[in-house]
Amino acid sequence: MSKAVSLRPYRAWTPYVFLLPGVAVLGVFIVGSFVQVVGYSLTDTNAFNDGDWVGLDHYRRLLHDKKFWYCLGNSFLYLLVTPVLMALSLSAAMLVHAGLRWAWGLRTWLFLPVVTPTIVGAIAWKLLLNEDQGLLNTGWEALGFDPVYWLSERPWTLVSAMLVTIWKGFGYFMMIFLAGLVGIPRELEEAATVDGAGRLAVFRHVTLPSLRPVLVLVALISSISALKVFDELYVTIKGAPISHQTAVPLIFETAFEQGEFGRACAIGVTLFVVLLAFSLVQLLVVRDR
Amino acid sequence: MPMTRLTTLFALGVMIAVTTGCSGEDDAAPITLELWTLALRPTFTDYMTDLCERFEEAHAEADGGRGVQVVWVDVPFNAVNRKLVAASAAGRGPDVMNLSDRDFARVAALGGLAGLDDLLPASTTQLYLPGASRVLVMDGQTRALPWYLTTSVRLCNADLLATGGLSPDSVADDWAGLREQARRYHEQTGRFLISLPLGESSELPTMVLGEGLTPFRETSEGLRADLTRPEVVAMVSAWVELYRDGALPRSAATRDHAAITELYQNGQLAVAQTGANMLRRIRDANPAVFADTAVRSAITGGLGRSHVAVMVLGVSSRSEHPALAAQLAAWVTSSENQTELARQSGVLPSTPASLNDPFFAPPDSLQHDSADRMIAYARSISAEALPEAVAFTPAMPAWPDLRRTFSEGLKRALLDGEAVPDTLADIGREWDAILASHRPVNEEVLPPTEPATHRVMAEMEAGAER
Repeated sequence: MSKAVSLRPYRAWTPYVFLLPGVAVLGVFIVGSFVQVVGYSLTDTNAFNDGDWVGLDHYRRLLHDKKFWYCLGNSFLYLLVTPVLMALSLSAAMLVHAGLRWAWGLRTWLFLPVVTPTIVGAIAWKLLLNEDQGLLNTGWEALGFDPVYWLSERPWTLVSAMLVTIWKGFGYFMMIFLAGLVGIPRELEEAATVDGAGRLAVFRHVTLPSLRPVLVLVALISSISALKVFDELYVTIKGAPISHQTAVPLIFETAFEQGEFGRACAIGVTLFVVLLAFSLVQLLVVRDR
Repeated sequence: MPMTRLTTLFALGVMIAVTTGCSGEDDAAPITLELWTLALRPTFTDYMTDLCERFEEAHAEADGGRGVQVVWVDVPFNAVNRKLVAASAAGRGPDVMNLSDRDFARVAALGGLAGLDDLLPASTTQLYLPGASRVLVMDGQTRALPWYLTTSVRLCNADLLATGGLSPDSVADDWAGLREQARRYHEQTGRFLISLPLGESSELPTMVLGEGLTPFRETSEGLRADLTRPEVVAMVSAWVELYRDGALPRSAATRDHAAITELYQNGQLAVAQTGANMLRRIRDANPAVFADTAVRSAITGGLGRSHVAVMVLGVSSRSEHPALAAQLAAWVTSSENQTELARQSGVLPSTPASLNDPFFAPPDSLQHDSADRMIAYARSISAEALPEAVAFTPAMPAWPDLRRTFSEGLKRALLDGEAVPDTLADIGREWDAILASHRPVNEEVLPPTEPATHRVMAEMEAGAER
């Protein structure tokens, strides 16, 4: 005879016990750190001294800091990578999804940049874009055109970094789109085809609406990544004026080149608020539609 | 005993063991001093290991017999800023740190360096060449000791020069002449004669001071900017125009001095003004370029004094053993140890006693018939210039901010097409705001404006003729 299983009575706090480890990790490493950063932003702390309380002084100075506004503006300009990334990665996903014989190889090839370290990729791009001896300018000049100053002159500085971001990111988003495409029932597309819809009409009226949740996800992730971009800028256009860069390199320069942690934290908190507001607006817009 | 209780007891035991094991410092263990150097490993590993061991032996009885253990950490040159800032913020910074003169000013301004006048006898802090140690006194305190130095020489690629109808001896020995030659050379060959860091880590402020021009004016509230005086505007404009005309590489605006050596060793630059110690690197990286290289005296400004770049050793203001750390810094920078380092590396020492070593004498024959002879010749030129060389860097905490502001401003002129007088006026306003936010300083913090004496000038000219 089997032993009877005794079920303990349900206690109201049981779920919270299971949540505790996750909450503790988040609390210490995310919320705790954030509170600390907000605290630092109200002091003039630096790498070597704990600093004194300065209240909202850093924030007040930011309001009149042209460099900060340039960089924040550039961060939003950098959002241009989002539509390009989405168009490219969706196209690549559809190509791979089309059932071609060489789709597996193509998928691997397109995914390669994702597994290439950003720094390595950015250095390769930097060599390619070198203004005096780079392959691009050498070819360009051989065709009789003036050289393009990819790494030092506006707007090419941002364009160069964007190229690296797009090259690096579109394979990742291609995989997300591919997962979305696989999830669309074939019957829907077949029914539309039977009803006389052409390829473009099928794409417009069946595929795209079915991919809507994926599109929203990719738009959100890629735009937040674009606003937080750092590696590509740091490697590719290091040395260009800081006003050609975005907000995160400014935080890096303020903290690690100038050693002004308090001020860097104030820029970080401001960027966080901007990002939060941007994401909320983006979500509201998408939800309303 | 149920399994859960066993696990709990085990975890408790581990926690107690860990916490008791980590609590407090072992009173019998030697005092640990952490020394950070820049890019010396692996070439100088033996030298540094021996240096640290000898210091440990000499201080075996320190602190009642505990002795000292020196932990030597070598940091890549480009990473030192980030590593130092991150380590110090985490309370794990070094006791003694090697910094370039540029980083020194920044760390000192942030309060990261202990004053050494209370930790070392005056006889120690006065051991060094005044041109190098002058810049290390900030707010009335010696904040670091000078270690090894670099003055520039001119490296000329005879093969590349010939393509533009020039030779090492016909290259101009003043900046104005060189700019003119650079423009013509570029027009004729499409190549670059020279380069200079104008934007990133701009060398123009030190060059302005090297000309004997002072970009400051004295006021009742201390120094204020004087960047719009005609001589300064003319000098800066001349370089910006040369860049805009395409006669300087694009990296002149966006890369620091490292780009010059890279371009030269890749055979893309005909003349490079850089440290004599770079010759070894060029010999290893590109023997063909090294074989075409001739060495000449560096171009100086109107004062005839070379700029000296100073590597320094400072003691962290957070060191738990500042007195011992200061002794370690003094030990590493002592005459004997610097002479040995110079012999091994080819860098210049900061102690006059070391400069008397025969190692710094010119080679017997001045024909460049062997690699070692050329390196020795370059070294002797640098050493000759050293007694009157000066670090053309104002000794004030605001200097890193002023220099960064200048670099950022000049990039606007170079890359965004701003007019130079407007840019300098803008930079001047920013300088005034920075200077006003610091403790007032007067002209005493500025480098000397007296020209080099005739003796040294004559020696330098003789060197150039050779």
